[in-house]
Formats: sequence, structure tokens, C-alpha cells
Amino acid sequence: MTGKALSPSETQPIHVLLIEDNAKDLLTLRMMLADVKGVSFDITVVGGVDQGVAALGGTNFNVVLLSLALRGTRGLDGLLQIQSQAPKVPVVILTGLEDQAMAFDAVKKGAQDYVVKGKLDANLLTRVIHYAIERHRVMEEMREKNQELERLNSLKSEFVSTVSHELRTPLTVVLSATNNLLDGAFGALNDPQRKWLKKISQHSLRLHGMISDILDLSKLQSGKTEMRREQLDIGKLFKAGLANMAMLAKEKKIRLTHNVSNDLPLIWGDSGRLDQVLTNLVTNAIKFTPEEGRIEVTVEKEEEHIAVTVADTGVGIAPDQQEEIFNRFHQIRSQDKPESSTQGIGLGLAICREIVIQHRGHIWVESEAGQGSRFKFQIPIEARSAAERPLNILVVDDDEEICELLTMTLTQAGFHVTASKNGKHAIQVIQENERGFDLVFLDLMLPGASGVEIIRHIRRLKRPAEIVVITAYPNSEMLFEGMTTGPLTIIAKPFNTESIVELARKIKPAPPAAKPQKKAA
Amino acid sequence: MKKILLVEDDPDILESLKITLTLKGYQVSTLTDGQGVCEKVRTSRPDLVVMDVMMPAVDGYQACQALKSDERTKMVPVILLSARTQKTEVEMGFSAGADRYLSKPFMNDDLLDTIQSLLSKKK
Repeated sequence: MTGKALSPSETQPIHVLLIEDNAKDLLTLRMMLADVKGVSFDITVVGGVDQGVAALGGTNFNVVLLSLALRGTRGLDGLLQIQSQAPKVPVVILTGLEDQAMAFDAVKKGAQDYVVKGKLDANLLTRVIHYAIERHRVMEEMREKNQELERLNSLKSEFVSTVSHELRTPLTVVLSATNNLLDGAFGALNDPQRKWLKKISQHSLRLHGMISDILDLSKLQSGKTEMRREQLDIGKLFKAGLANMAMLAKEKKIRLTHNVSNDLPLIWGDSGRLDQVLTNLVTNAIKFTPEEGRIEVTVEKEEEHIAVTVADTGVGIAPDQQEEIFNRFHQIRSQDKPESSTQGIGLGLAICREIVIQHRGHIWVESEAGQGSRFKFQIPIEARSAAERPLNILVVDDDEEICELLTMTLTQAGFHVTASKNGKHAIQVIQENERGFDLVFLDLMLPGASGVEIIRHIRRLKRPAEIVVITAYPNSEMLFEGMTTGPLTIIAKPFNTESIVELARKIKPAPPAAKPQKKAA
Repeated sequence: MKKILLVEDDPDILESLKITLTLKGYQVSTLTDGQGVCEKVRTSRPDLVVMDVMMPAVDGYQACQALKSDERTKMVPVILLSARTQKTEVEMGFSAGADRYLSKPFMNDDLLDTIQSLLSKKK
């Protein structure tokens, strides 16, 4: 890729590529830029987009001024061509009064700014150019930083996962050997020996729990953990879960009761994960509630949610800590029970929050210090339509390997996949499919019928599928043509299969009667 | 006396587990790699194999698969042990034909209970 953007210093001229074929406008613009004090412009003029692209291939420019009214160029094609040749050079659109709407579209497509030719003076144009260059530079920096952050984040997840494995091996020896000693493998133990070996065993288990939590949270936050989707009677699930914790409460003489509404609607979710949330909240409540205290768990329907409340008569949480406790490794400080402050709640609540969020719910705490706490989370009931049936996906690509790879990946991820290698065939498949597709992965260059034709066909349907274009040419004209009928999501080849699955997961199958949902590209 | 073949490359885990199993009255033979597991099972005919997954030359998945695809050895139950607990890794263990997959670390009782349940099923 050529056409690297330069960052102009005050003493150096600003290299401008001016693409304009109207002689009068050209003269006006040249005179305007020659007029500016304190800044010098080095202007290269070309009369068309193709020459512009050629010029960008050879020279480094700071900015492109592109007329929208070039002969032989349709709409925003020129902009897309310029952008694909020199993505790092900011483009300012020159437009007449009559096509400001298109100029605004150009800005949405990545042009830095637009100016109306008739309403221009030297100062305004200079300012627009300066701002365009600066803004573009800042955006580029941000994009690069984002990429770097993403890379670091995935490195971190990998690191956490490796470390967790590495820590488990020595812990295996510690636990196994301690167990052996406690089982009398090397003779009888006296009381202090037994007591301390038990402590070693207990703390090893605690360490093990923390390692598992770190790995769990890291996986949850990286989005790599899949929530199972099963239809649940959450009331029944939680009653069973609470029965398991009754012993723990009893040991501390805490009265653990529940109040579960009858006739709760079924929800879709991961039973193991939701049970993990409840277990965590109740275990914490037991830990922070003094003996003879009370814990009540309420499960009820609140409008479009199932709401679960775990209320205790424990130490309570000061208002300034109510957000923080959901962060990693936060500890609840408690004045009257200093020993409990060493028992950090660790990652439990952070994990709970992550799980609830992935069920599209909320979790929070209501409390006044000394007055007990009410941990509450809500899971939307509508989430069930999202998983009532697997997403119906059509894959259209004439490359056999890509077609197979996508089909295999998506099928394994639990989606219902149909594949087609020919454009005409794909249109037929779309017409004949009774369920209707929720999502179409589409290559644009196809035999039979072009991708753009398929896009048009889909958009005319009563319930248009989401369209994801997979292309080796993310800046092509064809792609732009496809966009004229609505937003498209674009994935550039080569792609990784994880991102494909992730994308598919974000799409909700619309119930047949519902209005089509459009997602922004 | 029931015979168990224990395959583990970490010498401390190997020794400690051998003690655990011996203490419970099992007759334990050991290997430190997946290589040779098939031959050992054919010749010494253990009632059960306890095997680590991550081993240098032939890993637990491979050794387990080899055992389970041989008519002479496929009836012997296999417990895989691993510090890798990701879902995909557990699934790999089962697709290699393992009867149980135990995550490290575990309590001795977890292992002993698992062994017991497999041996009583076999009868």
C-alpha cells in the first residue's frame, strides 16, 4: 500500500492532491491556496480519479481534495477508489450546493470533511485542510492503538491460561502428598501435625479455586466461553441449588429461606452458569452474615425479567464500594470482623457479573453499611426467542475450501447451515427455504449471479437476512454497490473462523412474524 | 488384588499417586511416558489405567486412542488426568476413548472413587 500520509511541519509545504476537472473551480481553488499567509501548499492537479490513484501510488500527499462532480465518475466511487489506494491519506470532498447530501454520505464513508465550492474562502479551506490532516492522524493513531490493545489482550488471555495450567501441576503434588500423609501413609499423626496438614490441604484447595476463577474470568472476559442455551425453570434450578447450600448455612446457624414465585416463565440460559451465580452470591452472604442471621432468596418475574434477590442481614456494603465489589480482587472491609477482611471475595462477583452480562442481564447490590445487603440480578425473559431455534445460515462462496470451512465451523458451533457455490443457485435456495435465512455469508464474485444481485434479492424479502460480505477486496466498487440498499457487515479475507462464529452469535433469529431487524454495519 | 497401571511423567506426582493407590491395596505398576503403554497393558494385563495427558513423546490422548482401538486392550478402563481443563481438552480426552477425565489437582478420594466406580462397573 502506498500513499503514506505525511505530518506537515510549519516550515514544510503541505502536499495537496487536487482532483478536479472543472477549469473554473480549479483556478479559484489554486488562487485561494496561493493566497494563504504562513502556509505554503504544493499542489498537484489531476483531472480524474484514475490519474489521482496513479499519483497517490507515486507520491506521498498530506491530503486529497476530491471533487464529487467529476466526469465519468459515479457518486462516491471516486472516494472509494482513492481510499483503497491510499487509506492513510485524508480526503476532503469538494461539492456543489446541489449535492451536499452525497457529500455528507462521503463523510460517513470515511472522508474527513466536505466543503461547498461556492461558499469557500482561503481561510476556511486552509482550516479544513489542517483539521482534516490532524483529525485523520489522530484517528489512525487510535486505530493502531486499538489493534495493539487487542493483540495485548489476547496475549494476556493466553498467558493466564498457560499460567493456570502450570500452577495446577505443583498443586497436584501438594494436595496428593498431603492427602497421603493425612491418610496415614507414613504412620500415625499427632494432633498438631494433623491440624496443620489439614490446613495445607484446605489452603491448597483455596488456591486451586482461585486459579480456576482466574482462568474462568479470563475466558469469560475474552468472550471465548460459550454460554449453553437451554430452556430453564430457574425457580426449580435455584431451589435445588439452595438445598445444597443449606448445610453451609446451618453450620453458621443462619436461616436460609427462599421465596420462589409459582408460574415463572421459562428462560433460556446456561443452567450451570446461572447456578454458579446463585452459589456465589449465597456463599458470600453466608460468609459475611454473622451467626443467627438470615438470608432470603427471592425469585420473581419483574416485567420482562426474572429477578433474583439474595438478601442478608450481614455487615452490609458502604455506598462507595457497591460498584467496586464487582471488580477483580476487591475485598469487603469490615470493621467489626477484622478476620473476615482477609477472606477476599476474590473474583467471584466479577465472574457473576460477566455471566449475567452474557445472559443480557444486570447485577447490582443495594445496601447500607450495617443494614445487610441485597444482591440482585435480572435476566431478560425475551432472551428465549434468541435461542428457540438455531440460527439459519446460508453460506455462498464459489471457493470450495472456504465454503466447506465455513459450513463446518458454523455447524460445529450449533448453527443450521446451508451452502451454495453459485449465485443463481443461491437465489433459488433463498427463494425456496421455508424457514427463511437469518444470516447470509456472501462472496461477491460468483458464477451464475453476482453477490450484488443476491444482496438485492435478499433485501426485497419480507424478512431480509443479515448479510455479511466476505471479500478479499474490502474497498471494491462492487461492495459499494451492495451497500446502496442498506448496511452490510464486511469481513476481509483472510479471516479467522473464531470471528465468524462470534459474529453469527451476535445475530438473533427474528421470529417469523416480527419486523425485520436491521443491524448497522 | 486389582492391578493398576499408572502413567505419569512428573516423578513427584507419580510417586505420590503410587503411594495413594498402594495404600488402598492396589498393585501398581508405572510408566513415565505414553510410549509402551499398549505393550505393557497387553503383557501385564492391568485392571485399569490411570494416565496423564501431557507427556513428552506419546501423550495421553494418543496412548488412550491406541489402547481403545486394539481389540486386546480396549476393555481396560482408562482415567485421564490433566491440568488442562478447557472444554475442548476434556472433549478430546473422551473422543480418544477415555472412560473418565479428572482435572488436576484433585483430592485423593476423587481419584479413588473414580477408580472404584469403574472397577465395579467392569464386573
